[in-house]
Amino acid sequence: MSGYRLKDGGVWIDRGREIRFRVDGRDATGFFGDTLASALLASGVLRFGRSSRYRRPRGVFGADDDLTDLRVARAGRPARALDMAAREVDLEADLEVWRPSRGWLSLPFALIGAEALRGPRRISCPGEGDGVAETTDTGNTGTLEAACDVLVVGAGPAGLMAAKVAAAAGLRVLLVDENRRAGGRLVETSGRLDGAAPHDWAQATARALGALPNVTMLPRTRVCSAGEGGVLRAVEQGVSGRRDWRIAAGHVVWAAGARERSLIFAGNDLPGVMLASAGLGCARRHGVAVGHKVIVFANNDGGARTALALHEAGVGVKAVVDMRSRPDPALVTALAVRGIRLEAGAVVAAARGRRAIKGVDIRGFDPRSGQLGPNVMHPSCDALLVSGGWIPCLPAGATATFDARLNALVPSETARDWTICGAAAGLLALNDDLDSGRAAGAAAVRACGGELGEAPACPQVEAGEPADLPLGVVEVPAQGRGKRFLDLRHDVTVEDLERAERAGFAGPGDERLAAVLGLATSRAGLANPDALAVLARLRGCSVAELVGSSPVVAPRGGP
Amino acid sequence: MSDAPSELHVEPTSGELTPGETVGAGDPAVTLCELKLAAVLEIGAWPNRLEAVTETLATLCQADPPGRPGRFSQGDAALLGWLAFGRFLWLSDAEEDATRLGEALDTNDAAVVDLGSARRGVRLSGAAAIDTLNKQVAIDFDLKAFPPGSLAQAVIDQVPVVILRRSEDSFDLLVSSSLADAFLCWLRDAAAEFGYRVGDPIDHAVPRPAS
Repeated sequence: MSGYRLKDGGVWIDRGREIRFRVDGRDATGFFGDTLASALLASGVLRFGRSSRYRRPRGVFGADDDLTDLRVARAGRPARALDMAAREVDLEADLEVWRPSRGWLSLPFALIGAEALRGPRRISCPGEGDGVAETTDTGNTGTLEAACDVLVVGAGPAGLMAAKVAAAAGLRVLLVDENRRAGGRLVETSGRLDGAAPHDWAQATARALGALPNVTMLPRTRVCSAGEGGVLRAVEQGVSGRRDWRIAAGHVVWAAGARERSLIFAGNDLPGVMLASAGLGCARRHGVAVGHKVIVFANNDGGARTALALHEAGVGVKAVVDMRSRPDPALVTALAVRGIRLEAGAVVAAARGRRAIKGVDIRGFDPRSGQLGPNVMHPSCDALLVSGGWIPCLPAGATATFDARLNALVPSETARDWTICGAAAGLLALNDDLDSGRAAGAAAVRACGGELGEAPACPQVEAGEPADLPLGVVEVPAQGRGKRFLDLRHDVTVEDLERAERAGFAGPGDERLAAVLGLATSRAGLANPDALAVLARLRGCSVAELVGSSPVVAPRGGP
Repeated sequence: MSDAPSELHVEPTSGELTPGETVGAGDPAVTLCELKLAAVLEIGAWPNRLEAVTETLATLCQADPPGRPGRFSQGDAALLGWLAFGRFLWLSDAEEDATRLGEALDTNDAAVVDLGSARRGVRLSGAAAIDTLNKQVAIDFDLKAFPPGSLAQAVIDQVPVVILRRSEDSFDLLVSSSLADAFLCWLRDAAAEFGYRVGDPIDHAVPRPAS
């Protein structure tokens, strides 16, 4: 048991409406507005599934990506079972959840043939986990055709601004976002927009947009491919089931945001290890603390900011481990005032624990030589939040170049005539995010031949956070025998990549290498930039040099 | 469930539209009605006689010519649609129109084909009519792009269908009689998500429906 419900907080939940559900036959409670993932975390459940290749226990890793290891099968209609990530499942009354069996305990049953009595097994990807929850979902509800002048992908600050501008010009706007609520990461963002909390500004803007006759909002919808003639395919994960959309758009504004990047160290897949944005999202969105003794490990100022925000929310933060030897002095002072220990110029060399994280090994680290220091600290913890910077979510087909400042791939041009804006274009500061969204909306109006009158102004940003620029190092040298994972979904480790390199695979564009990384099937999300970093280290060059030697297809984020 | 008698909450399997048949909880968002069309004619005009044929048809229909393919004109007793270059659709509540048009149009100008027994009409109306059609039809039904008075030919569930937009939320659908059962099965299935009710057959299909 590590996660728990905070006494207050949680902008998405209604504490007056308690919902009872069952986990592995035990009663548990959550609140209206909880997702299955947040309710499980609040109930102290850390292990959501097991990886298929190594059968390692896995928990929630990211709050807003698809790498949560628990996959659920909704079975309202038996013939139309539906797989969803736990974060996409709304908590329902009387929901029954079963986690997968424990790997070794099932061995004797398998030996005596009892495995055959369990019925057909669901085929899953390595690392995907095989937890099953049954709900009363009605399954796939078919396909809908839609047409619009401007399709805005992403309802974060940039997407909302782009939609506002296009809607004000009288264009038909379809605003698509994969989350249930608009605003993107604004829930986790500090500062104020037009005098209101960022999240409140997003909700008010979304409500105003939704009330316009020429704007259609599609929450919980993910654009997943683009075909010929500008028709895009999207999947809506609605309350009553999944629906496919085929969207004919005059112009596409890509404002899909950015995703937080992990760090590579031994045991970085243990339940309890998660992205810093996920930990903060749990507290801010659902009022859930991911642990009593939280350690934050980062290579940028975002780690310290997350620690301070969690402390403010009432979560016990034990320490911040920063790869950099000189973090922002203001943040150092703020941490000291709150009694949060800071280990600068150090790394988490390994996460310890069998079924969940119990503690970490902290060692000194020299980023220039890449060497670990000799002394080791072994503090205990029940949650480790990691932050390796932010990766823009690019549409496939976009040509990407390496930005050393962000230590990430940023778009240089798109294969299609789309407008990329906001964090997806590498603009991480809120001011830049909003401004680029407004400019993208204006570009969309011009592209559609509309008349751009006086475009709505961007909200006034007060006390906004600067962009978190990371150290250009994400990999911690191996310590002991612990596996360092590059791709949790497909159970790909640094050692796999080293073997592939020894086998002579060509580079980022090599299909065999892509297969090793899992890129061939899912484009592997977080794995790709980390894999590029490891590959660059193996070849003794920089990521920029590695990328420059062969074309880079945008690794993920949609079509 | 709606107020309809329980025996009318049927599992739809046949191609017949039984008035009162209701599917879905709450108020149905879609209404299906059989259209009783007395005359369904298709007129093919020779390319060099297109203008003359258009004028003749408009005069007979007592309405302005449709203007361009993809539009239809509404007269008091007939509806004249321009399907494609040289091809017109005539819907009327008068059975004798087949004879009347045959006599009015010289065979050197145009050919009139009576499709009365080969077509079946269904009126789809209600708040979810567009959503129902958009499950298979990739037509932008926005009022600016496809206003009332527009028609289009589409393939729905492999069945060729002529779609006429009669009002903001009312569409007349014409399908081949031989494929009507399969089409109605699809239509019921598509509309079931929103809830539908089968209304009484419409004897006079040509007048503009009340919105």
